[in-house]
Amino acid sequence: MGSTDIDLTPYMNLLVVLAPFLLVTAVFERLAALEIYLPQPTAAEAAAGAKPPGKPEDQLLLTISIADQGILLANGAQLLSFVPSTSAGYDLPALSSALQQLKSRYPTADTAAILSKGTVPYETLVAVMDATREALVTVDGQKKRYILFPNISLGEVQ
Amino acid sequence: MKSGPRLSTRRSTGTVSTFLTLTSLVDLFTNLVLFLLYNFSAEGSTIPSAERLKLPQSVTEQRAETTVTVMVTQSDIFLGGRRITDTGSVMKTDELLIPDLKKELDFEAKRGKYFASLTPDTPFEGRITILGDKHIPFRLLEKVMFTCSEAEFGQIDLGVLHKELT
Repeated sequence: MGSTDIDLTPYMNLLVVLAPFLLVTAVFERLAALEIYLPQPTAAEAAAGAKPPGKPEDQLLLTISIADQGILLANGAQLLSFVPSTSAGYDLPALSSALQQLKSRYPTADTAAILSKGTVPYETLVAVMDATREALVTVDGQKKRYILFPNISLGEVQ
Repeated sequence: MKSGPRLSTRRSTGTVSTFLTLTSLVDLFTNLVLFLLYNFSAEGSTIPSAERLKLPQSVTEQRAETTVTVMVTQSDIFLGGRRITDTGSVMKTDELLIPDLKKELDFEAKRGKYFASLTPDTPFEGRITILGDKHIPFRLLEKVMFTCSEAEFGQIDLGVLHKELT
């Protein structure tokens, strides 16, 4: 028996002390924040005034309405598409792909308004906000975050 | 005299090596400690663990800042740990403004502005974080948000738990 073994006892002592300490203080859940975009009235008016009158179709005033049977996408007063609910609830993957198509048509648009009824649970609202903010797209086999419409304002629809 | 020679033979031939194989245990502990150190947050947990507060999950990457927090559980509304009112009476009225919350928020705004006047580098931004239970209806959230913006807290963040985008 060649005595070339390293004496691990002090190291073990350290680990045995450190591991429970870190386990106790570990934070596995992280508090994050979802910022709500406030449409500034002056900025909105300025944008409305500065809008080139000849090309209103270039503007996207995206409204996402959470209705009973599904989610409505509209550009101002013009209805764009309707994402019907499945038996499991709102079809968020379909909503995400519809929004990705919209984003590719209007690459510069980054604002959206989510209108929901007063009875919509907060959890559903956050899930729709998530789908509106960003999507995970697969490009060449790699998954990438794709920012859609990060500036979201909230509103109520009767 | 018989025991003497027997002891001596045991000592000479029977050297039983009693080493524990600690390598795997050390590996385990090292990995665990490194993982925990990597996740270690000096700020500690800022997630309130109220009785009826289950935050929704979101994929947002933005970190929550330490601001004034309004906590909306299914039964009560809290401002910075103090109970302000119950949600039942708030939901009964059609009025968007919550008067009790407005009063307290006005006081918070005044205090925030006073501190901001002492430190010119940090102006009063009116940031507020709303921690809402995931089952509360949007109507209630809307009322709280309206009251916050009425009380000069215009920069509203919704507090959520981080989850990975899948």
